[in-house]
Amino acid sequence: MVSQTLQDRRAYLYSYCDRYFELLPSGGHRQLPTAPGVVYTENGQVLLLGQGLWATATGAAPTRAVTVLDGPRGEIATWGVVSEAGQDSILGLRLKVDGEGLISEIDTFVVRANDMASTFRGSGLLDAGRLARPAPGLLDLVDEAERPGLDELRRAADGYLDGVSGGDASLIPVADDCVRIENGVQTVLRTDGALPGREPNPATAMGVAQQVREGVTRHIAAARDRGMYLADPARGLVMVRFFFDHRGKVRGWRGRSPFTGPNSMPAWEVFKVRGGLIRHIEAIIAWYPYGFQWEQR
Amino acid sequence: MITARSAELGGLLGEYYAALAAGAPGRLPLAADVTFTENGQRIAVGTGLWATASGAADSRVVAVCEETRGPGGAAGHVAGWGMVTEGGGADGGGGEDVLLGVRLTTTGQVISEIETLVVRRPPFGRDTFPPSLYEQSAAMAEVLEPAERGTREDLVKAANGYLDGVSRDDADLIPAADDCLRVENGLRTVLNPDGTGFPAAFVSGGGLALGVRAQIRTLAFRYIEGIRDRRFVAADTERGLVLVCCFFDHPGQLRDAGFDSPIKTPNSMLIWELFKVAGGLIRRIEAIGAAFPYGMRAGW
Repeated sequence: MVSQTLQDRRAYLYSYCDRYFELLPSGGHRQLPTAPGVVYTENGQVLLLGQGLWATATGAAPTRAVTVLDGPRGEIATWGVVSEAGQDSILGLRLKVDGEGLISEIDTFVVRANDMASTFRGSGLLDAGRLARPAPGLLDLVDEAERPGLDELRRAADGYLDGVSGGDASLIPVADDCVRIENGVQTVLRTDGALPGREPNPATAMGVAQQVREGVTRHIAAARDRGMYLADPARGLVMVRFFFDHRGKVRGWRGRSPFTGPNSMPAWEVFKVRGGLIRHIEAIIAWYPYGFQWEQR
Repeated sequence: MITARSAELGGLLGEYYAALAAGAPGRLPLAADVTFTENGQRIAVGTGLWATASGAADSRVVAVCEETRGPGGAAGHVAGWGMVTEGGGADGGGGEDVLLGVRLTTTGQVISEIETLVVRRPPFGRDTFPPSLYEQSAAMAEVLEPAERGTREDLVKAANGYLDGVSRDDADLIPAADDCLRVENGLRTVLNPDGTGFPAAFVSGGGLALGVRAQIRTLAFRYIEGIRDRRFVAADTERGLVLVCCFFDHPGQLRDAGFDSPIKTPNSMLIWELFKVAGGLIRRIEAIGAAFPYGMRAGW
């Protein structure tokens, strides 16, 4: 460990995620190098390693859409497609590896497209094909001249979340051609003017900032309980975990809301920042009861 | 003036639904530190369904009241469920119907606990909620002959027998009458040979025709891993009613299970299950429930 070069250390941390996805379909969690007392969560619930997705997964993609490595903290986050009972799901994974090379924390976020069927009308979109590999350039190194510092990365992510939830596009340092991919589905700058299988919606043709300016995101009441903030400045990447609160069609509501009842949507969101602007956004998102929190009381 | 005295517990439940439909929690005698949960989340009174509700049915499907006396004086527990509308206009039109379970605890003066379960999607693949959820269940409201009544402990034991039998696949643990009916989210899930109310896709294999115990013997509910965190929140011995709030854990289609699970991916269902027990046997079961992240807890 001590003598490893930076590059070796990256490969070393990457290998933990690869190993996790490799072992998952056979339920081989015992082969993970875990520290005593490792904490494992799935969708905010503390489970025993071996439960949840570990007991149901029958497949895991060999390559994934997003990986953010925070070397100084020994943390890595990634997401990719897994299968359960013949259905595609998305597994978001955050690992913390301690100085002994053992995994001390495992947080997982499993997005199941038709999950929470009893509490939410409709079903989510999920494009497994687009999640099979990173978007072009996403994981590339950023030239030093355009490379963001740690603070700038955090400010960019918070600016986006503040702008989207507060309805203020001026808070969002975003390039006009920034693409956003949510659960594998592009939700801005679409040339076909509709989400797959959905009604035509002019908002899908707009860019990130324009959507906010036009009130498309007005139904978002808050982006709360932000955390993780894994950062990789060399690649201009930062990953944040948070909840979007949607109050639904509250009394006196004027305008559109995609949700009649309230819900909270947990999200893991990655921002690629270069030259002071967000260039690409990737997110995985699910549908939970209103007010949900990751850490249960 | 609405009060929270135990003698008026049944009325208090109705007042809750009326205040909710009006978006006026201030009409209720709430404790300053009242605890409120909606679908297991502790949120502020006034938010969640309080902010979206635009109407409520005139009556509840079921209601159960219990008065208890402790060192602090009288306390009351009342719970039930019925339909409300959310997202409708100021004129009461439009919006979507949702099924709402409410559990209240009073100190005798003020409401100290509010637990709610909101089911926002019609059950079993239906497009609408079943008509039975818009009417009072007369069978549940019936007062028992004194000879048929049991103690609270008897009621809890019968309910636990059912939950143990279902989770352990042992029909012998379940003290249910052969003609015991079970209604889940408004549909009869036993002794329903024609599958009345169910979309065609759900009527297969003949399981719906069987009774409570016969289903366990014939079908097996192996996909239920356990029924945990059981809380017997209210019992009414005159009517033979006991309400349990609990979680059914469904681990999903396990890789090595050797059987087909009807629930493919892991979830935990928060279930409110009301039992009517007479003469030592469960005569009727009515339940509501919704699916949440696997392992979730109720917030209580």
